[in-house]
Amino acid sequence: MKFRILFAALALAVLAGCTTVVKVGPGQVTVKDMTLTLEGPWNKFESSALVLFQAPGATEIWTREGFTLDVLAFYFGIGDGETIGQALPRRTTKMPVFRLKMAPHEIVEAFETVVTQDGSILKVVKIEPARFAGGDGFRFEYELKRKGDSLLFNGIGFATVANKKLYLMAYSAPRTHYFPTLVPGLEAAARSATLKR
Amino acid sequence: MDRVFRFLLAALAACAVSGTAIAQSKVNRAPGFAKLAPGAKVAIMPADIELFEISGGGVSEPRADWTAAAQEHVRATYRARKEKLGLQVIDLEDDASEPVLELNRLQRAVGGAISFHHFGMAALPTKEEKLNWTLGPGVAVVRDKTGADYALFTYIRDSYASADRKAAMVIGALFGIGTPGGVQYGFISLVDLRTGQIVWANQVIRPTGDLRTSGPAQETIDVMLTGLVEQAGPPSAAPRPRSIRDW
Amino acid sequence: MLRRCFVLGCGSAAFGALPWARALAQAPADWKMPPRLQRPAADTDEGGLWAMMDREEQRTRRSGFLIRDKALQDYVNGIACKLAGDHCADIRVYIVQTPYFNAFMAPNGMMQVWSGLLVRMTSEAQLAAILGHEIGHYVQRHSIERLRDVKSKSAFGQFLGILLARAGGVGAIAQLALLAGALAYNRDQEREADRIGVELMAKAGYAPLEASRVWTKLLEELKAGAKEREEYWDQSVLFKTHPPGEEREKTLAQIAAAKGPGGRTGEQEYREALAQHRNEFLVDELKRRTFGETRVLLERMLAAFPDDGELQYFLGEAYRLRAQDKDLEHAVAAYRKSEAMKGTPAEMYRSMGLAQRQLGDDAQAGTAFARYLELKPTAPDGALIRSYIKRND
Repeated sequence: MKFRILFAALALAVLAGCTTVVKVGPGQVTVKDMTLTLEGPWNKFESSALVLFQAPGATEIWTREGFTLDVLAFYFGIGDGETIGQALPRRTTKMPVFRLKMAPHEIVEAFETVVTQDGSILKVVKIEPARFAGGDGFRFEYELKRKGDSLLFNGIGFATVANKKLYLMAYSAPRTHYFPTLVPGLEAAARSATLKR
Repeated sequence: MDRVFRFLLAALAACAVSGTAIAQSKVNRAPGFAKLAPGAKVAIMPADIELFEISGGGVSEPRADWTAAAQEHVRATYRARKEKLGLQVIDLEDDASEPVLELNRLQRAVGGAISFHHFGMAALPTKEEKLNWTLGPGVAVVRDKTGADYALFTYIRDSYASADRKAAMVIGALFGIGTPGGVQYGFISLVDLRTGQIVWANQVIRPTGDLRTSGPAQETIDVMLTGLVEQAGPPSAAPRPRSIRDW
Repeated sequence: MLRRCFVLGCGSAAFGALPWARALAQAPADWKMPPRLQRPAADTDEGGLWAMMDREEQRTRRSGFLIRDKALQDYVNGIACKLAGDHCADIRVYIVQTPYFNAFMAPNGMMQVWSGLLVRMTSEAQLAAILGHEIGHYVQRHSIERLRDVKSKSAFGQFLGILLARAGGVGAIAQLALLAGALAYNRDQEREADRIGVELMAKAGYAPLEASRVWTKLLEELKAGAKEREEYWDQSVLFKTHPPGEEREKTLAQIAAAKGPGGRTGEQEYREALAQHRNEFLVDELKRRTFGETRVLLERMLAAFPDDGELQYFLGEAYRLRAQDKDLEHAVAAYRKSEAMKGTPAEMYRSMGLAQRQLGDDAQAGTAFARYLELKPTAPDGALIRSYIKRND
């Protein structure tokens, strides 16, 4: 265990001023080209820097209880040949590239590569076809053991390919109490998603 | 590496405008919690403490001997407070069973959220400035083992400048360069073991404080417990009326 | 035996050319295992080091990445005990799930073995070589010797700080390995530990030649990964704490040769002991995404167990997941080969289908997916796989 103020300051070099978090919802909210109708409010993170730790390279990050607890990451509007996610600082793993030809299994493999850069362990427990954002897509459930503190998370993801772009949203929360309590709200949000195809 | 802590310190470092301590204008109490009732049983969870030495080059080394001493002093302080304040304090022995480990891990993550989003600069609008977090039903394991009504969690990270470092600070000052000497970060939370709700929490970040010896260690704990327990003497006969701002 | 000598070229004139190697091979046979270590006084430098290791041990016991499987723990513990003799009572073995090659023993008796190391051994004797080497460091108290060597506290601190900063935050357990790296044993100590390791192996009835085999094969892996690696270390992070050197391989070969032939290798016993965990460890290995190294590892394991369909499947995965140049074709070829082998998992057909689909071979892919469903009628992803087949029609 150690301080690494210098490293942290470097990692957050893009942080201009302090972190801002804004409320989104209830009601209609737009993320990229997608519209969600939220039953309750969420918190949207405005600075790009924190993204590096929890969901590297995500389009947007939301939370209800705090970023050390639950994280809703949107990877939206990724085109053929574009990178999914972002490498953590000083990591040399190549980030996966989205291809139109990718099967859902392969999209989930790519997602796993992105979110386990820090050594966390992810295990997919379910993956099945599902309607998402008004079209064919898939839904997947996973377990995650966070490297830094060994905390166990449950996760759920929804994805579709529309207008030749990938839209994936993934939500994870501690498996004790938090995930079971919060996932109904998340599933409602996912069901409400619409996109002009 | 304590990911939560690193995360916090990173944000704090980025947010610090000057060297002043971060203002604490946030409430310590969850809605509905007034104070600890006399005779309440509080289980003192084994404190999560780590002390570091900052060498001349600015590198922090963990000091196991200082950490061991600090743990002893903190334990003794809690025991001493028990006698002074009429609380029943239960010293929970170090438990490495899976349910307790999992609870401790969750507690650290929740504490991190409170530290960053409640006491810190990244307030979550949906919380509406209230201290409103829970550890969930997992706290039952502590209630069952101890019969306590509450559990108190202590988390401290503290660093001290070595002699080399102090010399560097003095020299730096001559040239108008401020060199951070060491920071004490303490976070205490009180959890209601019937509901899992965190009913009280406090955070202290300051450049002073010393956990390596008994007297100053007591001072550190007293500062962190400010507001939860009265410090000296019996409670005054007529408590002043609580205003809405105390919530 | 003849094959080993052929592979390692034992008896070749080249080894004799290294004077210190010769000296080591003729090391005095009168080395005796020192008596059990006593906990040093708390206020001494050694006491401080023990205290730091006690804290790390506490952290290790609480880690979610500790493998708590009693059978595996007992097996590794058993080997350590056989080697350590009287010191057995002072050793506590912890097996940690992390895909890097490392094992170490801290001065307070804590021994850690990482899954990345376990998956790379192909015999009990090879594991014994590693453990014997670490026990050598422990009984000779190299850590405190090294700590005292370091000139000034601040220099140590800076060194430690630099190492830790380059770690990239792999976690508290990795930090300890780096701490061990900071207290990195010098070459004399490494040679001494090598010598003692072989000594202990031989005494416990293991084939000493297996010790140098560990390094031979690992060097191959290292070289294979060189093109893919962009690490800032000039060696693979895989071997950060146990840098394999060619000279070391040769030295060990010479020491072992001097001990004479014979001794147990224990390939089958090791395979059985690791059986429950091997799949998980190989999944972790794939996730490192250093596919060149992974392929060499799998090819080595397949050389030892040529009919192992699961290994062949993982070899296919190492190609499929990299998906560069001709990788997908190689993946399909690898999967095909596994069809005739034993123990091939049903998932192989799913992966074959995915690869064939990527290659535009929809008909073949459909066949492979159908076979997967046949073998695993209650697969949790059955509905999705059926949708892949339907899409072709």
